[in-house]
Amino acid sequence: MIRRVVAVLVVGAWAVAQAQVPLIVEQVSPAQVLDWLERSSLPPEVKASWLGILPGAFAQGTVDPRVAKPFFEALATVPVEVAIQLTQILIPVLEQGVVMDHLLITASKAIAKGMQTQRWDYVASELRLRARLGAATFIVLGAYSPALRMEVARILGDFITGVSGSFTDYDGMLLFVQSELGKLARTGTPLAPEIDALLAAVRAPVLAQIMERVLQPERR
Amino acid sequence: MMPFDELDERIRNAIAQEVEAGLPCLAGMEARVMAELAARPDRRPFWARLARARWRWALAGCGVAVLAIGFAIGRLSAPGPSPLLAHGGSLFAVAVPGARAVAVVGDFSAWQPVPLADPDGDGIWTATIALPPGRYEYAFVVDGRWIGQDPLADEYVRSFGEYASVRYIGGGS
Repeated sequence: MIRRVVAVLVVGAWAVAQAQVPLIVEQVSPAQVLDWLERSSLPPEVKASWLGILPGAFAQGTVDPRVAKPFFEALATVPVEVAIQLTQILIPVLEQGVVMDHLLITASKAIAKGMQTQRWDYVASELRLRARLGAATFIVLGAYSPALRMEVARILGDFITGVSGSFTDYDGMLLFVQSELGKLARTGTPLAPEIDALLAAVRAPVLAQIMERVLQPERR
Repeated sequence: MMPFDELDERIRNAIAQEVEAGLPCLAGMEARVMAELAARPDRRPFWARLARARWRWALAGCGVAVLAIGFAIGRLSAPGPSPLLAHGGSLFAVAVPGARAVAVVGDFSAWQPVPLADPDGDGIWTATIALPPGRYEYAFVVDGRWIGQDPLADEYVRSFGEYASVRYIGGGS
């Protein structure tokens, strides 16, 4: 009996630990993020937009404060018009209830790269595409975990921006998704069992649905 | 907006220049990294020693305690940095003799810099980061300069106008 209890505790704690984004950043509370944001040098309209939606997002678990803090710290380093533009890209996705952890990390990456290239128009365009992909994938692949859905969105974004440039090459897209998810599954990630199920279900028409939503972002 | 082919051409030129400039640093890098790794103390995991002693209940108890503490750290809102740099993690290494500040940025740090160290001054900067199985994008930042092509990476990916390295952790890698 005790062995069973211990086993259940171990498996349960492990599963919960795996659900968190693997990060080596500082631990912060939602209140600390909101306080930092309020005191930051970000433009007032940017602060107002985020402060209006973040408390609810933290409460619903759609934004992880550990991810939000580095993102806002990065956002505070970019030109004002860029901070406004990136905010206008991300807030509508958050308003749709999309779990934002992966997308905020992507935005932080975009800012890190933008600081090197100073190609902010390029950065904003690609982030807009990836945000739309995130929202569309989140809706179309609703049966799967948020982490896996956002991983698929990342793969589709890599395919369009770095491999093919095509929004309609669904066969090529499918092959790329299968290849990338296969590599991820072989790492032994906790997502592996779910990846098998997703790969069995995702076909070109599903990808076509996602792309249709990406190209018509006003549709809900 | 800059056309993709023109951007690709510029990126190719930048990479070619970067590789050319870095060639002297890469000479013998593999041997130096392997020597550095070999010099590290052999630290057998605590769980292995416990298991060998047939202390199974202690192992189970410790496992639950460690997971519970990890869970609490992850969930509680206690402030303060917790960089999980640990032995037995994934080694990030780059040879940049003469550099003043070297860091790795990546998905695992939300693209915040994690400093690398070169305590013996041989120009090989390293950090060992404990990461769970998964796919991680990263780049080195050397004195403010982006180095997105780590020779030790599994592959490279271009996004937002810059390359990054990709490493798959787990699965025997």
